[in-house]
Amino acid sequence: MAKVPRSFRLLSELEHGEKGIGDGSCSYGLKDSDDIAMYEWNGTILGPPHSAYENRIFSLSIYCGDRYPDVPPLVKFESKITLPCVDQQGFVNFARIASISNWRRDFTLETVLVELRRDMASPSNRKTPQPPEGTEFPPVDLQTIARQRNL
Amino acid sequence: MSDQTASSSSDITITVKGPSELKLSITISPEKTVSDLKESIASKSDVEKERQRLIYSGKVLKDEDAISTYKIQNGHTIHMVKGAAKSANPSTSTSTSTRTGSGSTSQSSALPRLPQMGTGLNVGSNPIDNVENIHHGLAGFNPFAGQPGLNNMFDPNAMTGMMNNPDFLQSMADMMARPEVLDQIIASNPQLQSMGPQVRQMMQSPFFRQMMSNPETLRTMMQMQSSMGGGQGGFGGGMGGGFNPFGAGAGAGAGGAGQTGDAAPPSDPFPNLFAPNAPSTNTPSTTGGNNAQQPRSPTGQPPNPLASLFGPGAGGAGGANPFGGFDPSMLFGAGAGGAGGQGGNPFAGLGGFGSPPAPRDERPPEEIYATQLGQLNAMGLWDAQKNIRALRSTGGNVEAAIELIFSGQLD
Repeated sequence: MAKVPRSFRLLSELEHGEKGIGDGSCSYGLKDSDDIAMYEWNGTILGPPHSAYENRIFSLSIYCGDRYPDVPPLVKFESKITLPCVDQQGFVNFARIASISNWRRDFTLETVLVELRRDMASPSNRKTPQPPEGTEFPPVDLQTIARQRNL
Repeated sequence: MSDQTASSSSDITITVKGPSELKLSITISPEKTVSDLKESIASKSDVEKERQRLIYSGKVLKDEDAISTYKIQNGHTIHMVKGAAKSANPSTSTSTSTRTGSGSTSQSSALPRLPQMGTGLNVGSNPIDNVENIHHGLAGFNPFAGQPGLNNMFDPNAMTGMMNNPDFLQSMADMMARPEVLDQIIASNPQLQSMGPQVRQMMQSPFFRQMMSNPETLRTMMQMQSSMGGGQGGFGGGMGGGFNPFGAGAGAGAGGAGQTGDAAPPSDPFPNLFAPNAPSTNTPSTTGGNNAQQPRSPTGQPPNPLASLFGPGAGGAGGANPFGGFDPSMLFGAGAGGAGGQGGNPFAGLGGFGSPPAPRDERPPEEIYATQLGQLNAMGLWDAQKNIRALRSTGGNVEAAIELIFSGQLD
């Protein structure tokens, strides 16, 4: 299959996100719809039921670098969360999520969000006590970090 | 825009998707605030404004912002999530799911659903839709939602995996320990209600709880069920189907009924009584094998969602075998007498295990699961064959199907 270039791919993801996927448990869209390069995205994950995350909406920032989707996006939780795959700053460590640790080109932002939500609902994580609702990780400049990490 | 509306031509029409398949089409001016939009949603649904949380493109909409702030375009979709419910009130979710809102509503509950564990109390047809905002145990009663493969009742591998999952067993035990869950179960089924307080007692009894949380028991039931080919009955049917609330008292005749050698007719009120004193050493697989040869029971009955959850209702409703079922000797090998005696009708012998096989839906799976397939496609899952298999295994439960697909068990 032909390799879909970054822009086409992100455009289709954008359209998908705006139309609203599935049940709304995960949602994403461009942070600024005037961002032609489509670098910065927002995402939300609805805390899975029967878990410590229940009834909360978790906000995330996502940075799709120039090499996306060949490499994973940079994903950071804005809402504070305690999850093994999320570091002290809120960044998601893909290596800690088995299902997406081996990044594949056909993974999408939606895949990432859905898998994160699944990770939250997993038996080992779903009872983890969570920081109070409304608390946030300190803001960072995603672009700088993404460049540092060569994403 | 060609269709000039009375208000203003710059109005946009957005789709609002909410819990329990709620789908509204709202036309509003982008100059209005999110707060106005919420009012508009409240007037078309029964979700109070205060409880609405709106999400669009990964952003939580703030009340004071104008809709234009978020650059929502005509035809886009906003997700509405209900805030935490003050109390677990089942009527709220019920009315939500029946509420159809404006014309564009699609209700997949019109589709026939296979009886399946969890559907009994799951008010809407998609657990995650209505579970989000409700306390554990009501609409969120389905302890399997969101757990990989748990709804996959027809796949022995997944089932075995589930049995080995301490988490599942724990939630099973938790569930049974919660009086409000029991109340809910009982209240939602007239059959159970009419059975009076004993039902509650029985469900709370340590024995029942132990049975429900005993991996061995569950596994045995699973094996029996699969070897009988009674897949449609669903795991729930198997689990609770044969449960006999009166068995303990009436257990005396147990052995006899089984050993008469008569094929116990479905109408026999006491084909296999609770017979704790008749333990069997037969292995379950042997029994399953025997029964697998038997013709299917003709005892068709309308799919009773609760039937697949807790058997007293099933037995009673079907009239098939009101007192049949929860005989330990049946569970663990159907006992020599029982299996032999009731050879003619495996379903009588096994009580609830087989009694609620739903009438098979003859439509092609693509049609039955059209809505769900659409959702899966929308999520980028294109393998139609795989999607159908997953949906079939999960009785049409989209979330469980996704779990299944991602779990790789279908590969």
